[in-house]
Amino acid sequence: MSLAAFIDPRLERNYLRDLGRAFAGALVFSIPLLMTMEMWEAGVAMAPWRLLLFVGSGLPLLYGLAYYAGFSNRRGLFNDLLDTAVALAVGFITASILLILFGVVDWNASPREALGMVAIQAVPGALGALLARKQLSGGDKGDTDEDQASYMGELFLMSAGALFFALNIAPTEEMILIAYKTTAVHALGLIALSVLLLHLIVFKAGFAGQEEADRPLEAFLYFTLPGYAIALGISLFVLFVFGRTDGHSIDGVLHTMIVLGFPSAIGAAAARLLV
Amino acid sequence: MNAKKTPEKRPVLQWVMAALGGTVTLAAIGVMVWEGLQPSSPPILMARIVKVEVTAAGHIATIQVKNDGDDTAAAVNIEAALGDQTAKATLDYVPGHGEAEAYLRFEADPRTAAVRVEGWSAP
Repeated sequence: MSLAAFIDPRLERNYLRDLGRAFAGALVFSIPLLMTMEMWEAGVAMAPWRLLLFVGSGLPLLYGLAYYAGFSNRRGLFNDLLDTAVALAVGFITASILLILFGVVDWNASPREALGMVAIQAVPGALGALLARKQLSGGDKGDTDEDQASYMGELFLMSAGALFFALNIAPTEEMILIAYKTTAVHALGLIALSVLLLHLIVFKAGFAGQEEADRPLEAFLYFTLPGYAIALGISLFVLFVFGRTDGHSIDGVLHTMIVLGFPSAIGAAAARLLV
Repeated sequence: MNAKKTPEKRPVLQWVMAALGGTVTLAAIGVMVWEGLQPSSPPILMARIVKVEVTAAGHIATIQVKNDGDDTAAAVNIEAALGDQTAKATLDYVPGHGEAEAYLRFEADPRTAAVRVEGWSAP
């Protein structure tokens, strides 16, 4: 059997374009993280089980995003699994190349260090790759399942958005510092602002893809409040993974969670518009 | 091969990338699981002078710190004494089973200086 029988040049070219878009998405979404010092340190110093937890919880999330967005036109369970694996490849390649070019991963690095630093960046890179289709495809209307997303699906998309924003901020030292600076009054203000903005962005601001809320109160109860709960939950999870909860009292953890809950809530709101 | 042929043809590139992503991800998970199962030992740090260069600013000794333990050490303080001069440096991280380099400056040739690791913190 000759190889040519397997290769359809037009098909390959089209897929190459999809792939290029995936790389662009991975770059757009992961450059801030690739250039964050704390992420390099986390890759080296993080306990293996935390890194496992991070990558392990990332996989179903990536699959979910492949289901709702994906970067190729095909659909179906098997195709979504393939898309997830391809997105991970894109994430790994992007992270490896850039971390080497930045001189963060060099020849002196032990394999474990290099692997840790790349693996922790590959997940957000893959996230970006999967979001790329919707973001960068310039309006060629594809049949993503997002339009028919169920209520659970909507909540899932919110958690993906919250995770994406939380991930970009949680590793930084500033998270803890801000939590130290906020008093109970600040924290209450942040909660109010988070919930308000979450509601306004999803239902009122007039973005494309925005929900129409005929009954604002119902929308608030069904989407905004669960959305904020998701944002807080995701914040806590990410803080825990990055060891930002270690050695803190419950009060301290709450403060950090509320602080990170703010960007997470914005992310949750944006997800409904972006994905 | 006819039996394997799917009704819808997929680009070869998709297979290649998916295989790559799957392999790398599973390998990374495998390494992490393996590492998580290993008993971990605290950092075992050893410092030694690997090179001395004479510059206009004095003798610069390259100190290599090796960590034979499993855990990573952070904020590793290194001190070297030569006569009545002591030189100090701090390394951000020395990863488990890895090494890192620091530089100490001396007025005289430090080949006989005693270099030691003073302490570190958990990352």
